[in-house]
Parts: sequence; C-alpha cells; structure tokens
Amino acid sequence: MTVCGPGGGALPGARRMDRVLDTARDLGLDFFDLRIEVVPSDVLAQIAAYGLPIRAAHWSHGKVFQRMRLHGRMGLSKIFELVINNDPAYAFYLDTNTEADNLLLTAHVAAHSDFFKHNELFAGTRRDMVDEAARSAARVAAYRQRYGQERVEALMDTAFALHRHVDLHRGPHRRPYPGRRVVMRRRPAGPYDDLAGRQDYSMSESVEGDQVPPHPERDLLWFLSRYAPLDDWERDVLGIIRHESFYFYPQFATKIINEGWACFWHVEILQQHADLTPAETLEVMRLHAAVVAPGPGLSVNPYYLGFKILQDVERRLGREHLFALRSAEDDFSLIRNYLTGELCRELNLFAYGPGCSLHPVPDQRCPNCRHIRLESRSAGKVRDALLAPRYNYGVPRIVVVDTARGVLTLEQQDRRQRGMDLDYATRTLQAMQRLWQGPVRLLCAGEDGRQVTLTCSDGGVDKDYA
Amino acid sequence: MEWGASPWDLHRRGLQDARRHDERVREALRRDLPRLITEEALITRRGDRPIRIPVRYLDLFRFRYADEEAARGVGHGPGQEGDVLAREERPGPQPGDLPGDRPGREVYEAEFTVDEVAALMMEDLELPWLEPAAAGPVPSPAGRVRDVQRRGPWSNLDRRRTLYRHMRRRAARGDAVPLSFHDDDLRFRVWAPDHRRAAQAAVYLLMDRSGSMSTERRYIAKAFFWLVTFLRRRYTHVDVVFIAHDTEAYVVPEEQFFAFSSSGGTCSSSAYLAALEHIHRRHPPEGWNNYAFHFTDGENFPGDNEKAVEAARRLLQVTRMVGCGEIVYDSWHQFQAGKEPVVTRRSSLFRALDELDHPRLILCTIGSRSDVQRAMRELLSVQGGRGER
Repeated sequence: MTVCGPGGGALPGARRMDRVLDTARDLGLDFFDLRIEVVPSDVLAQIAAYGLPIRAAHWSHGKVFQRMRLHGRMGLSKIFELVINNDPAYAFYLDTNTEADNLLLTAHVAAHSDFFKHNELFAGTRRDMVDEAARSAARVAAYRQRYGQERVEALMDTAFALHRHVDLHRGPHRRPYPGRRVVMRRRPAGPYDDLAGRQDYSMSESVEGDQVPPHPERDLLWFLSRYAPLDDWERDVLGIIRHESFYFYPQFATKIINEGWACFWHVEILQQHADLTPAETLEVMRLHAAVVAPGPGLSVNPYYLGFKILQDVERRLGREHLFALRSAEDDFSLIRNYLTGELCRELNLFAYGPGCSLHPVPDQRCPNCRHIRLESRSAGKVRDALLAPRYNYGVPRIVVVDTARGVLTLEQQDRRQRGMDLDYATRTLQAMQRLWQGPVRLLCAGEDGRQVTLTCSDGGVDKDYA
Repeated sequence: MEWGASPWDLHRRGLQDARRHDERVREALRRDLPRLITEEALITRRGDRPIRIPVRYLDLFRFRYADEEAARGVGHGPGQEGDVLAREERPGPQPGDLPGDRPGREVYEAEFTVDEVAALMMEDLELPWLEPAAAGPVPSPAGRVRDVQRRGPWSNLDRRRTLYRHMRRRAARGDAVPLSFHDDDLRFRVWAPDHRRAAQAAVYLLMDRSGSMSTERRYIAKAFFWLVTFLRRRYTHVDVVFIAHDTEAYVVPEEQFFAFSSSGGTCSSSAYLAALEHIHRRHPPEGWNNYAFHFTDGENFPGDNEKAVEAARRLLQVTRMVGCGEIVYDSWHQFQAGKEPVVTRRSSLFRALDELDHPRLILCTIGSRSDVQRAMRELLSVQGGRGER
C-alpha cells in the first residue's frame, strides 16, 4: 500500500490502514496493490465525474462535474472515497475524512479491488486504463489543436450518443467482416444419408460476404469507425470512446453486487479489527449506517440492497458461497438468483409506476397520469422493475441490418416492446448521417408504439409510418 | 508515476469542461430568448449587475426510450397495491425545444448580466437609415497617428521607423556591428484625437400609458427597456427622449417612464406633436438622425385618428424612421400564456397609419409575449434589408 496525504505528506493512521489490509488478506480477499491519495472535494468530484483521473475533455463530463460539485456544496451528497479498476488500484480519499473514516474506507476499497480482480465480467477490462485514458486524452487534445474545437466536439458528441451501443459479447477487439467469397459445401444427398452410411453427396454453392453487415450488427461505434468514410483521427476518437465504454460496462452492470460486496467486507473487517477506540467505533458505525441507509421511499440505495442480499446469502448458504458469487454474478444474476420473496418482504420492497394505464398522448394527460402508484409487491415484479433500466446498457437495441445502395439501415429490435423518443432519435440519426456521409434509416417504434421509419438524408428528415 | 506530488490545484479539466457546457447552454439560451425576454426578473435589474437565470442542464442526443423518464422503479416502505404514492410534478417539454440541445429536467442557475442578454439578443441589429449628420462633429474614442518625432514617451516608440533609421545609419557608415542604437535613431509616434464626424442620433420613445393599457403595459415597458439597453450598448452618442402620453403627452425622465402608472383616454396625436415640437427645438433634422418608436394598444380616440395620421406624416419628414408597435390580444390570459390570438384585430389607428404607406413607417404587431423579440427585430433589422431610403 502506498499512501499520500494532502500535498504528498504521510497520512496519519497509515500504519493502521496497513493492518486493515492485512486483516482483509487474512479473511480471503485478494486485491491489487493499493495507491491511496488524499484529495480535496473538488478533485474527488472531478474524478467521479470523469470516471478516471484523466480522460479526454468533453462538456458532458463538465456538466456532471458541475452538478456533483453543486450537490456536494449543498450537502445533498458527499463522496468519501473513490477507487479505480486498475492495477495498481488507485483510491482517492476526501481530505476531510477522519482517521476512523479512512480505516473503514480502506476495507471498503480493498473489497472493491478484490471484486474488480476476480469478477468474471471484469476479466477482459484493461488494468492499465488510468495510463491508457491519459494517453488518449493527450491525443484528443492534440486533435483539438489541429482540427479545431468544433469538429472534435461534434465528433465526440456523436460518439457519446452511441457509446453504449457496443456488442458486449464480441468484445472490444474485432476483425472486419470477411470479404466476398464463393463457398462450396458438400451436402449429403438425402436427409439421413450420413447416418445410414451412404456416400452420396451433392455440392452446393453460396456467396458470402456480399452483404455488409453479414449479421445484424449491434456495435454501432465499431461499425461506423470501420465502414464509414472517416479520417484516421476520427476513427481514433471513436475508438477511444468505444474502448472506454467497454471498460465502464462491468461497473454499470455490477453496481449492486459490487457495493454490497464492499459494504459486507468493511463491516466484517472492522469487526475483526479490534484496535478501534469506543469513540472511533461509534464514528465508523455512524458512517456505515449512512452508507447503507435504505434511501428515500421511491428508490432503493444499491449499497443497501447489495449489502442485505449478501448478508442473506451468507446466512443461508455460507461464506464460501459468497466468494463463488463474487466471481460469477453480476447485478442481473444476483437479483434473479438471490433476491428472494422472503427478502423482498423483509425489506418491504415494491414496484411502482405511473397510475394511468392508458398510453399517454403527449400534451393530453389525465389527472391519473400524474399519479405514481404502488404496482406490486411480488418478487417477480420487483426484480423486473429493478433490472429494467439496466438491460442492454440501458439503451434501446439498435442494430445495423443493411448498407445496400449506400443507405445505412438500422433497426430497433425491441420495437414491439417499447417505443423510442423520436426527436432524440432524429437528432442522433442526423449526427450519424454526417459520419456516414449518406442516408441513414431507422425502423423503430414511436412514443405511441406505432412503427415508423425515420430517414435522414441531405434533403432532411422523413417520417414514414408503416 | 509519482502521485503524491501531483499538484491538484492545477487539475482544472472539470472546470474547463464545465465552462464549455456553460457556453453550450448559452447557445441554447439564444434560441430560447423570445421566452426569456419577457421574464420578470430581467427588467427589474439594471446595468451590468449579474442576474441569475435558472437554466437547465443540456441533455446529449442519443437513442432513448420514449418512457425513459416515466416514474417507474422500486421503492420500499408501507403501502398496498394500487395506493397512490406521490404525484409527479414536472413541466412538459417547451415548444421549440430541440433534443440534444434540449434542456434536461434538472435546473441550475447561470449568471448573466443584462448587457450580456441584450448582446445575445441584438447582435445584428442596427438603427436603420443612419447617416453621418452634418452638424456637431463628435470625437470618436479612437485616435490616429498625427506625426513622428525624435522624442517622446517610450510607450510611443515606433519600432519600425527606429530600426529603419538605425539600418540606414549603419549602411551609410559601413558599420558591421549590429543593433547599436543611437539616440538619433529613435522615432516616436504622436497621437491626436480623431475628429471624424460620428453619426448623431436621437431616439424618441413614445409610450401609451392610458387606462386601456393597464396590464400589458409592463410588456411594452420591457420592449422599451431592451430598446434602450440596445441603443446604449450599440451607439455611444444617442440621445434618448422619453415621452409618455394618454390624451396629453409629457416628456418624462427615464425612471418615471418605466415606473409610471396612469389612466385615461388615448390621443396618439398628442405624443407625435410633442415629439415634433421637441425635435424642432433640440434635434433639428439637418444635424440629427431622429427616430421615433411608439408602442400602444391602438385604442385611439376615434376622433383623433385623422389628427394622429397627419402628425405622423409630419413626424416622418423630420425623422429617419417611425416605428409603431401595436399590442394585439384577445384576452389577458392568452397573452400571458404566450398563445397566438385567435382573431388578429387591427385597430382603427393602425389601419389609418397603414394607409399612409410610407417606406420609413414600420408597423408591427405584438400578439404574444414571445413576439416582443420579433417586433424588435422588425423595427431594427439590418440597414438596407427593407425598402429604399
């Protein structure tokens, strides 16, 4: 562990923090080497807003930073600590934390790092992302100098609009589609000839690689950077944002379990860690209580939910099972497999939604439309409501289906389930059209659930209801 | 990488990007100005003192579900299925909002000065038909170089001429030592104030403050307020004369002009005549570019129309332009809500003025709050954009 206090000096209590880490190791946690740095609240808000200590500049990060700083100043939220998925793990502590706070945070951070190191979802993430992002930031800054703020920003706007449309299963490293070729296949003449041992074969001929893409393509950013007529620097910027998106997805998909894991262990470790004074114990307990508070009635604090689920799992299935769960599960499987009906009842959970069952017509809302109703207390509904905003990185399933005659044709695959915001979609298509330099078309469902084809070309936008 | 040594004070990326976001908000705000221009808070402040305007964070365009913001989720606590837990309080989208630059739901406050807002609003506006006037040359703030001398303050050193002198002297002597300046080499500029003639203009603001103008007067006042702010920003030498009228007209000081409340009938002719009288006395047309802007609801005393048209005709002879803004609305509530009026009436006075058919008489109507900016643009669009002199 390396600790740096404010201004680079030693942090009081560093020795005790080391002992906390020893206890964590004894209990079975295995984490990356820790580099702890104590920073002022504005810096902490900045790192939290960017997700990484140094990242390419973009106004959207500035927006988040501004909001966080404002919330921090108004006392709406306070960030005590922040840890980066990296080897070594960089952790940042708020400079106003007490020594006892920092002991708890050290245990918390160690558990996070253990999670990063061992959870299956994180296996493919870059462990040198802190350096990589800083290098990317320098390149983007150079592009800004060279090609101008406007162009780089417009490109980044488009990239951030699409950054969640990546193919999480195929991963960040992709080969281009195979080129056009004629494939000869040997086929048994009759349906069961191979089983019967007969040797009659016929030859079939098919052409592959004629169509781009050969299959519906979910990785829009990769597709554009590979197949749109772009300059090298533009491909690079799209690539940077795409890679960062892959890096951040596991954190998006393990919010509940990761925080639950960290909270579970900071309690566990500090209980084992005997040398707290009574006053410090009280302080630590107060901080813990604030961290795992259930939250206001119409939301559930993920720290609280994860903590309760893991506690429940340990009680029912034992600690060994916890370690297996930490390696194998993400939020989806954790909620589906371990948020039981009993636990839902114990935590008093419910799913809520708009009080009006009619399709809301814009500008025409009945009084019921404004009501928020308790929909159900069944565990199934609660699980669905918890996970609904997390599927597919929280964005509609949009795929590229065709590029015939230079028209980039997209499709919303879940258009029968949920409609899209057409204004937003139109703006996004217009931005894509500028990159594609040809017409862009999207088949999707609108606000009212009706299917519609949006076509963006130089001539403008065309809305065609099926 | 030595982390402990990193000077965190120098990490200003967040601030820089926040500033960029702020700029983008301002760009979006520019489109939103018609609505903003009639906001109450703006007019009550003067000068360059900052005002805080609630603006919304920008939301980047992307593919998103239509019901993304619907109140849906998981909560905890008591209650039975079907219970109403809360009411959703949120404003619907504003007309004209664009996604991508569409304001999000969350609000923060941005600081602007009235001058800044005026600048955003009136960037490309000008007083039309403005000419350098004959009388009374006015010093323009910039000076010009009158002479070059051998002595003077160092700040006025003319480096080019000095170097040239130096090179000539060296060349004449065949001296190879470079850059050995002598006092004789030095040349200094002498500045003189420039007495070029600048355009002189006087602007007459005529406001109907009759009883029929009780409620919407505030919005007229606002239009006037922006007009005055604009004039003061744009032109260094503009005389602004404030005339308030009902059946009689008075030249009033600026503060009273904006704070006045009154009642009574309307005789627009009185205001035109008062302006005429003032022009002849103080701003004769030979030396001055005169402008008159009149805002009224057009509810003129019918018997006065003829007189008013005649006065307007005479006023046009001594001014570069007369602009008349007419408030047209069906009901106050409609006006307040910013809706388009169902029936657009034109008052008898405006019909009469329209018959004058003078190229430098500009009539415009204000049908809703958001029209104020449009009216301003109509009155002050760029020179040459409309009609011939």
